Amino acid sequence: MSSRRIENFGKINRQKQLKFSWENKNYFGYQGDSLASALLANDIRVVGRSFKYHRPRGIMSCGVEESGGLVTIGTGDRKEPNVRVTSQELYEGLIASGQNAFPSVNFDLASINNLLSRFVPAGFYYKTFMGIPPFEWGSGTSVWMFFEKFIRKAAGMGRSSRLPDPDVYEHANDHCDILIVGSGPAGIAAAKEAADRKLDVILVEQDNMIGGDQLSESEFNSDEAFKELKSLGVRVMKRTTAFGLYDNCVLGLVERVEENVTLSDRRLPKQRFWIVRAKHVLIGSGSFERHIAFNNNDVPGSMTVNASKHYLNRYGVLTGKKIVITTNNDSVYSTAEILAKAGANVIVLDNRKETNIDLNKNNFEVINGVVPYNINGSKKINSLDIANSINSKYNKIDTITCDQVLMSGGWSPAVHLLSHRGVRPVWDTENLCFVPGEPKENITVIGSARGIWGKGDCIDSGIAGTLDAINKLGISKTDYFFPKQGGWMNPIEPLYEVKSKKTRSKSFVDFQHDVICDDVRLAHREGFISVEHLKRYTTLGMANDQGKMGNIIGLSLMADLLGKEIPEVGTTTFRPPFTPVSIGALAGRSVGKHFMPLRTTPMHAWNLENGATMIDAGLYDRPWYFPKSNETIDEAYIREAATVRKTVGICDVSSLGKIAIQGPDSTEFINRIYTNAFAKLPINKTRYGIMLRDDGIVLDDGTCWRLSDNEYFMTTSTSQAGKVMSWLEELLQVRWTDLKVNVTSVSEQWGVAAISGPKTRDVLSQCLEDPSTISNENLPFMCFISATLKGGIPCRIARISFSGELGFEIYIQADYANIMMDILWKSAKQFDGCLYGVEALGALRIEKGHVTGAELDGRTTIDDVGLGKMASDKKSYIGSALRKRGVLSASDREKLVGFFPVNKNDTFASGTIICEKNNIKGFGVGRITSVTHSPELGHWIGLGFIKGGVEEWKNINVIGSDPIRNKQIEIQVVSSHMLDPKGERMHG
Amino acid sequence: MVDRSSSLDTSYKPGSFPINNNVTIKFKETTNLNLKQIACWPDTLFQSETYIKEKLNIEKVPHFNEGILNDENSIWRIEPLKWWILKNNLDLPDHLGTNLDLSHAYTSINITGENTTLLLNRFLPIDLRESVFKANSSASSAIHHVNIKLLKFSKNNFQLFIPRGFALSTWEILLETAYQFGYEISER
Repeated sequence: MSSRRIENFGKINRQKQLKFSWENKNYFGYQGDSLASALLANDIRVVGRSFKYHRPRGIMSCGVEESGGLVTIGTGDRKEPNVRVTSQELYEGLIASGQNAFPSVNFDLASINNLLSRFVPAGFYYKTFMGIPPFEWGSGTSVWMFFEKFIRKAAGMGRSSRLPDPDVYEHANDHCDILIVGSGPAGIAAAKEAADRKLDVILVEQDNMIGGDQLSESEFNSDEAFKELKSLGVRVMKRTTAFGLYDNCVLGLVERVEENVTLSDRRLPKQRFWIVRAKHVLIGSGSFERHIAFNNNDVPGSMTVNASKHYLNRYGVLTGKKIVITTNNDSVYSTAEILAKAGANVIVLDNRKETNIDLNKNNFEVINGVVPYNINGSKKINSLDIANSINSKYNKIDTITCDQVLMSGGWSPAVHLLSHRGVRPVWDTENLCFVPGEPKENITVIGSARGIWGKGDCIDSGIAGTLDAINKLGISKTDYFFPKQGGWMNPIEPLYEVKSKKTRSKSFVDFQHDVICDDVRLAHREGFISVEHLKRYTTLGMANDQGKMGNIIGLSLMADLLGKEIPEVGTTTFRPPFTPVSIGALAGRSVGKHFMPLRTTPMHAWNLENGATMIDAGLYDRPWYFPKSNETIDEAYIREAATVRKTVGICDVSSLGKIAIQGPDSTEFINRIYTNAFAKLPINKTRYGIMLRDDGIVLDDGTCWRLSDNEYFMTTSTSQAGKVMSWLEELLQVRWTDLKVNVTSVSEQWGVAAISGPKTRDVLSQCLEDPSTISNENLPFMCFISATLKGGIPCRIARISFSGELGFEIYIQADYANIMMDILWKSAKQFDGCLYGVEALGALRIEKGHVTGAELDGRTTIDDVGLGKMASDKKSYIGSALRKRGVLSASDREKLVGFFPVNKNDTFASGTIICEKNNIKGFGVGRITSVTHSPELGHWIGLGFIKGGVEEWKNINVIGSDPIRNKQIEIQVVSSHMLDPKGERMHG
Repeated sequence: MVDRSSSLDTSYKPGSFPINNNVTIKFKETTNLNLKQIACWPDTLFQSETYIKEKLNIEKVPHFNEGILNDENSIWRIEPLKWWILKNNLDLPDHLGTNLDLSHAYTSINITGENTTLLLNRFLPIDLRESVFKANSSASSAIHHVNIKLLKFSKNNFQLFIPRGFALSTWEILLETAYQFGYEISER
């Protein structure tokens, strides 16, 4: 091939030159070029190396079906492999390089694979690890482990950057009446018709210019067409690929927003992932020109015929000087004429014995009844051997000197999107292609995607498609008809493979995966005759090509081998995405700090200002600990917990779930969901409650306050807040629809501070307008009261303790939370108090044996955690029946206990397995769920479960086995109430 | 009474952030929110509607996902049996339903400008086209997995309600997305 830019052809802007680099050398192209056209204009033939055999590959098409020109774009953190040169717009400063080659695509050491190809046929991978018969020598894991690293290194094409992607991607949603995929003649006609009828239309085009195949016509003006559509109100989305079609006309689109410029401002999105919900979808995705399988049909310079026409009329690049066109259909003749007019020496080889073509053939030669047999050349085409066919045997008859071979083995409608909906294509025996089946949804296929070849017919089909949509949407009833499929003057004749007489020919079916005709025959010999098995055994039609190029040829070969017709063999299912979608586009903005939404408490800013070190707790950002200068976390939390026991501490516990329960049946509702009795809970009293799941396992624990006859305020654990809220909604909406109860999450309405320690009342008294509000008489344990903080701020104060100390929880409307903390902290400092975080909170509750999500882990019963007395026998409640199952009340179930190390200097971790001393194995007899250093006891302690509970293990020490850390220590089993078991402190 | 704080206090920076000298979106936080939720039961719906009409002096109660916005009233039916009242202080009697103050539960942002719909649809799967989501429409949806309520006051004029705890995170991602459109943050 000897390609070059020529005058008077193309739609590029020759006034705007663009510099780009290929394989570290600088070249120039023009605005409007694709990378492929720019490379061709600079006569660069070899742009890649094939996947397995490392054969030199050139540019073979002009669209998304490209199998040869897969390159790497960019460097550093913007390096992107496997980019199709045909889809990449040229821009100033573009850096491109070859891939899958060392040291370069022009000279690749791995091309030795081509000589060793007999050892790496289809399926070699599987066979290698089955071992060598008769003794299967070499089979097994160890051999795989040895070879794995070499195979993995050799596999794949380009290598992506290991650096974080610096670009921004985003998601977007849209809706329309009609979405049209493809802006070819059918798509544009359909859009105009729909816009004329005042419908909201989106036209999606993967190219940067609209027009589809019309872009290969010299007279077609894309800008004018675009302007006309815009003026009609059509929303045209260029550079946007419809990669998937889903239920109810939902489409997945990827828009390459700024790919044509080097993004200096990295805050602008590079790609946008669209989900569009349309009422009706028109698929005008066009069709792909097929190649022909014959020996060495992959040598750089091989290309589809229509691609050559595109390069000439769109980009002003003549792709060869001496061009041979090989075909079995009429579509090539207009291209032959244009190429000849542009100065090429053109010969058309038509395998049909006779053709009647109404074209000026004076400037090119046509030879009927001959086929391409073999390309001579390696990195470029030197000549083409041609053959005739006698009784299906091909015999070489001549050699033609040429620098390019263009192929057209027929056309395949792009039925991919319809296939995503499960619609099987139907074989058209007249046009030798699969045409779309009949969709059951609001989808209509138009243009050449429907198997219609003529431009006029495509336009008519577009209009008919819109009328079809209008009818199906019930907008109006209009008569319409679709043009007949096909449209050539002379019938196409089958030409899939020209079988070579060479024993090891390289007749490629699937260029991208180096699948040759012999691979298909091998699959047949070895029994992989189902089309789905054929695909997986040979990799034909896999990866980003998705069968666009070689599918039909592969099917025809298998059909021939089985003695069947192609439709009897079937076709594989095309799945999304139509073309590759970057991971960045899928992720959108859900990366980095937005990987998950961050949830803050109303005191968030206050906590930060006051020195909190924060920790992610679920979605919440919570204070972990408040270090004084140079304190470690251990030093800080031990100091904080000790201060709470000694004086007073304040902790932000706003993350507790809070639910308002309102309505005349609220009492009945609450009584049904908690295990303990709530029917007679007095107003202004609060009660600790346990909820079970239907199966008798503990769901959550918390408190419930009675605000009035018909109104309650429920608190849940932080982790289960959402689940409990959903559960209550489900109960009311599905099971107990007769109850007049409203439940509303008010978690965000209230900020909560826990204040604990012997000095708590002194501290809090200073903060209230009326200090007597919280006297022991006015506010005994497990009561709450409405009060007023200094400054007139209303709040609710509950006498509740999680730490085991005298404690209050102060509930404040969220917008006043920071002020409340100012007031409390100012007072606490006067009593040598502290702020404490979740680490100290955990230490305090473990000392007391209070359970949290670590213990209520979806496996434990109310009896397991030692709260069986809270399960009423006098009422029915959720889980009351199934909690009595034998398996849940067996005496050897694991019960909640405390753990001390026998050697008080020892520590152990959560997850430690508790084993009997003489039986350290397996799951043991228990587990440790929570651990901490106890400032009060002066040593490490743990909370967890052991079979039979503490009574079973009196005076019997156990072993804490930690196989992860290879550690075993002797442990004493104690009561879970490790501190103040009578609760005297919190009642103080 | 002391001033109320906002979840956005630390990150709310009024100013203009144009792109290519254009500002097409304006944000303004609505502080000191006054939000009451009233709810009834299926068998008290008719009575409740009559009561609401009388008390608010309106001709009809809005349908589900619709609202009434005028000088006197801002009432939005955000669930089939629940309304949000943003201006008045209406309470349903106990025999008709329940009342709940949610004034501190949400951070409310007014978003206006020609590209508001585009911005919102970067996150919301709702059909916000003018012909479909008309003035005085409302919707419940999610931004970045966080449940939100959206009220449409007029063309390109929306009021967004974000749960207070998620507001900071949602505000940041909204601004990052709005950068491409050029935006302005108004004084509160």
